[in-house]
Amino acid sequence: MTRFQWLLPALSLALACRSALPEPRSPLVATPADARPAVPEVDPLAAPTFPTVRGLTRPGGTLWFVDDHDVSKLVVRVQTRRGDDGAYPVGLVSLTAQVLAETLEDRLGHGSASSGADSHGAFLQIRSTNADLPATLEAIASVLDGPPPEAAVIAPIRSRVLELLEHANENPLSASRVAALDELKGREADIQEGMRRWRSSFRGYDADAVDACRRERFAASDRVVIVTGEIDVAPMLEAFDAHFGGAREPIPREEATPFRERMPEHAALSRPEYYPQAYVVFARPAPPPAAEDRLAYEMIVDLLGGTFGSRLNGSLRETHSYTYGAHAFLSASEGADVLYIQSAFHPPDVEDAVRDLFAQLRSVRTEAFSEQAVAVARNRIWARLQRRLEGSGLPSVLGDAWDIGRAPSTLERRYRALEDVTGADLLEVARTRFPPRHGILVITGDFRKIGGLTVQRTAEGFHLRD
Amino acid sequence: MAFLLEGLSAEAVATQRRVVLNEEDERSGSRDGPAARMSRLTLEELYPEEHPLWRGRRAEEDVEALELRHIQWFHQTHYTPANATVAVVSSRTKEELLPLIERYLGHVQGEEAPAREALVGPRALPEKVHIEFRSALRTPRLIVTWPSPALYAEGDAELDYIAVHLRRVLREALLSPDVMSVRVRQQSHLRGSQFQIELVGARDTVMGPFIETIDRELTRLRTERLEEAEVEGLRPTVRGFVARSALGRAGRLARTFSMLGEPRSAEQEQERYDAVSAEAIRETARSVLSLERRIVLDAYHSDAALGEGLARISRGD
Repeated sequence: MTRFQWLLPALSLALACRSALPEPRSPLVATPADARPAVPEVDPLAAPTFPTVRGLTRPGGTLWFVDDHDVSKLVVRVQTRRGDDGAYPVGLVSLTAQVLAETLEDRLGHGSASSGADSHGAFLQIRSTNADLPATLEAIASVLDGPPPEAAVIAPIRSRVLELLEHANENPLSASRVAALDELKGREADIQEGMRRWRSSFRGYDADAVDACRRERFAASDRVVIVTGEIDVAPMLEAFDAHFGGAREPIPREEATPFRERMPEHAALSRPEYYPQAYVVFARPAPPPAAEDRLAYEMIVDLLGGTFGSRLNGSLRETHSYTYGAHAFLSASEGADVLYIQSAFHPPDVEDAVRDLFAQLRSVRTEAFSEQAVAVARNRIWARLQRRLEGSGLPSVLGDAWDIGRAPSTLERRYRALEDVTGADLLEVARTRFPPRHGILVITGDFRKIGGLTVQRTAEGFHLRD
Repeated sequence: MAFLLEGLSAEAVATQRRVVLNEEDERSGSRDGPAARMSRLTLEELYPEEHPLWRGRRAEEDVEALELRHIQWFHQTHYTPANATVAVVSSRTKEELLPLIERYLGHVQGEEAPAREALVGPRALPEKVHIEFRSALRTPRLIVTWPSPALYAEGDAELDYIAVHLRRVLREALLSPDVMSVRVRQQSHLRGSQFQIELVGARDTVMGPFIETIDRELTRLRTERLEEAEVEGLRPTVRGFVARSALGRAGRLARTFSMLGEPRSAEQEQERYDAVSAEAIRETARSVLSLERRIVLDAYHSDAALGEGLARISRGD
């Protein structure tokens, strides 16, 4: 948030009400200049601390639980480390997880179950109470290992999930990200064609397909049941033994074809719409979560475009005011970890803005971030994680740990190791992980207003042809 | 707060002016887009142009008219220590924290706090409002909105229970290939609040008839008390609304102290929710969720509706 974020809207409202604003008073600054304290050093935060996670493994799966009296919700999450990694047709793992979540809701007679899937895992999550916990565990075991979901249950969910995807596709930025991923994976990038492919693929996801996906993706050997909140531990353990203690048939993992990105020079899509802005998405492969340098990479992403104080926003927003904001973030779907950088511009600004975006992108390989900036980014990453650990994000943090095959305690050590990362270290990671040959640019908008532009790739990275 | 105005230039204001205009475009989908128009239509009924909380479209020329001197006056008037609240939630002791606060904030001087305007809610609807909205948006929606009590006012906690209950029963009744999602919210703020039910349909679905299902559940809530077991079933979800993270606690402390004059704790929040009874839920449904005085927005796709879309507003029966 910047200092002006609330100031200007409030003022413009005052003007809109036609009230004349008074003149500023003199002196302009009421606080004496000599009272100004020295700017404090960045006060290093303590590294995040994970709660104590207890666990046990039975033939039906692993149980992790955190008995925490300060957590207001009792949450049960099933996480599998077999996700939407490309072993199944696009969207089938997400659909299966959603079918299981809604079946769980029906069995328990109350709502608020959620589900999801990315490249590394899939999950179901539902709130519970201590009184309901044994029944919740029983229902989960039944949904995962019991009779297959019925076709009549799947059909409406399939239609709804597809509609939601199409609804998301109305957002030009998410449509552009889909097109970028298509290009990286070597598929024809066309927004409408992309949706047609999804639609025809989804129609084939019948009860047999969902059941096969359920049995394999949520296999006992790769799943964990995570319980967090103020737990009555003994009844929970008894229920877990009762419903997950029996032998399960081992189910080998379906292996996916590894992601090998294609390297097109550019993709530019014309989509004249009722949106007067043009949308720019840059995408490139990113290291997977288990990679040793992943957290350093995340720090670079944060410093490049994670906040309004980042390098991209310092230039695109604060210097040139081309945009309200540029955003860099990581995402994982269809077996690919991808860095996305996205922003919206007025069409006449696109060419200059993209030129500048490329310049900032190249700079992470040539200009080290200051130690002060690195310290602030470290604090930010630690604070975000601590917030998740203390709030409702704890089950998903533990789920992430499960996905990459790490005990929560090792994840804590991994984050703590950021303490020693310097600007020079980040430069080294950037030189390895931001090679100039990687990346794809998608521009969505009305090209009658944007004009023509040509992207060149050189040994230094991407440029616009002058 | 202390020294911003020292270095603030007209050029910096000009840059931020353009950023704000870009923000307007981004947040609303477009300055002229149908998504922005759709969200404004309901708000303009609750907060018409003469209302202090009018949330209509911000005129571009108003933003462009802002000059450095306006920013200076506003900052001097509102960004003063007397008008600021700092809430710290920390594992450090008060003895450790107070010297830090004194060191970095103790020297800041400024004007007295500006007079605070009385809290004003949305206007009471005199009649039923029906808005038919046709646009290029592909996804149809049915959105029903009522003006509702402000945060912490009588009925606010009850409306959170009602929202959770309605979400459950409406999802069960309506989710289908035709209805993709059901959202029910008591959007409560210390100032204007509204209660809203939003159905999102599959493309080409005619949403209007679903109002009957909504009305059936509302009628039940207004005429019959929920069973005690039903209310107990809602409590865990509603208690989950009470933020307990450090940041959530700090936000609540600062917000309630600055707006209400006393900070509210998580424990007070939970007590407020636990005190809600089945009878209070019924009474609140009767007094707030009128079948006669509400805004119904029926939005659907039309190839003929270009630009911002076309709205037809009818009032009364």
